[in-house]
Amino acid sequence: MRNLLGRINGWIDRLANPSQFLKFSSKVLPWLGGLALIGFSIGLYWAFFKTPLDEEMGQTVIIMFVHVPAAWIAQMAYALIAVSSFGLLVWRHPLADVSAKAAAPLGAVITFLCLGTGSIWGRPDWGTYWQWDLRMTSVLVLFLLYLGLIALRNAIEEEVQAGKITAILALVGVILLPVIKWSVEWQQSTLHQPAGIIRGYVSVEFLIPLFIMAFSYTLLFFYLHMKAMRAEIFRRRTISQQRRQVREFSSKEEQNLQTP
Amino acid sequence: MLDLGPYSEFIIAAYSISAVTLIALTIWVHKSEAHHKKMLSMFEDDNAEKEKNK
Amino acid sequence: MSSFLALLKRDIHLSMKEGGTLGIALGFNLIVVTLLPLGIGPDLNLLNQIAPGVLWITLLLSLLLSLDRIFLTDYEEGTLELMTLGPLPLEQVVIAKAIAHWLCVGVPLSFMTPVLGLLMNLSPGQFGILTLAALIGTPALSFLGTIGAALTLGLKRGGLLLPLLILPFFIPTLIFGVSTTTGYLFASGNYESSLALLAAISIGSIVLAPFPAAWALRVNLN
Repeated sequence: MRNLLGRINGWIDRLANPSQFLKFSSKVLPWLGGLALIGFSIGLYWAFFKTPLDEEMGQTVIIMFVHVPAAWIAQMAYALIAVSSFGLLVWRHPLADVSAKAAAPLGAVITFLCLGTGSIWGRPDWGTYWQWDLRMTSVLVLFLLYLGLIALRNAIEEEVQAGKITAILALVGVILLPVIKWSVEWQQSTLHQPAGIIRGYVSVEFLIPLFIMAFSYTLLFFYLHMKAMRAEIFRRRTISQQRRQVREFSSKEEQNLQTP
Repeated sequence: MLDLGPYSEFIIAAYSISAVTLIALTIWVHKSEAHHKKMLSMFEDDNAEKEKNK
Repeated sequence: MSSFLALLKRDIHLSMKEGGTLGIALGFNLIVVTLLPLGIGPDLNLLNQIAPGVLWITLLLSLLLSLDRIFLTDYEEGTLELMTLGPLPLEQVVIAKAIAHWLCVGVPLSFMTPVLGLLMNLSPGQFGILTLAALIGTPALSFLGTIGAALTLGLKRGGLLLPLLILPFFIPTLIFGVSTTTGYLFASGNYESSLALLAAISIGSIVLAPFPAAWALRVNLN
């Protein structure tokens, strides 16, 4: 057991080193991307050709296969940001900040997709594009939180400070999101009629494509996250190289001034 | 063509939005990685050359 | 404890002397409530129906306007940096500043709510609950607000960023505040339990918010 833990720790340590991460990710990325593509092909084929037709709703159920995975990934991305923020603030892992920074725009886009597809699905199913039900409201709040994280990081010029400050906001969000969700739930149970959503019987025919699509979505997310993290590592290294050049240039200038 | 029932336009809309957004996101991430990689190698080559000339 | 009280007194004194923040908050509250009936039409029944929601939202927005001032003056003058070196832990500094903000902005806004209720066609018998709910709910806003103020400290456009960061965190207070008021006014539902939950949100914010706020201050002052 201790041996296993030690190995996991060693593995995390190695991954937390940027150079090791670059090596590791260049090996893993083609597999992630390829598997995601294959998964999406199978999932889409299944969704469109194998899903039984529902007499009442037509085939709108198959919107579920893009909507529900987006909802899952939207939450998973926030969890990833929270864990990374914790890692940055507590253990000061150099890659934790890179991970949190890379995940925020991806999470925001996927949360937007979740809202968009949900809204489109709502029109034929509930007769309205938007309903202030618990799920939609809390996903909207999640989206706002993503926007806040991105805006806050962009507003702070000093990068180390920006990372820490954004991490604090992310962790505060982790505590407050459940409270917000719970209060919306409470409001709806007391003031409004319970939202009359027809939850269709979810049979195996729906579950299989749903899981294939969710799996592919997850692979795609990690593919994009790794790519974005690599971009961020390259960017930071470029900046340090730039600084080195400026330093060398200015020290040369000084020498020239001293020896006329 | 597939029979998607009376609400086919909603299904097509949901899938198109998802596909377009995810593809655009992938292209953006790819481009930014390629761009920063290029910038880095430019500076690294530059600095390495200066080291040699010293 | 004595240095805590001294800081509290000083902050209250300073913001009384400055005065600008409170005036702007009260004026803003009034102008928004004035614009609303002009925008949606002077239907007294409708105004009466939406009064609790409108009054709470304008309360949140007016209070929001003054949040960035919580640490700003001390930050610009360098006194905040001195406070990190002083005998008082930064968490207690945050608590003192939040209490001062609540006393100088939250309490006056709470007592202004009935006056605005008059404009929204509420009857004087309903004013007590408006003020009570606002008094119990606003501490949460001041304390949560210190987190936003600390996070955006020293940013050039921090004042613009603050609403985006902090308004989502005000949602629980808004929900329980409105449901307390509507529950009492229209006898729909149990307003005592809403009031209790409103108080719980405030107590939770008072206990928890100073820690991330002080943490953010430390990062930003380094």
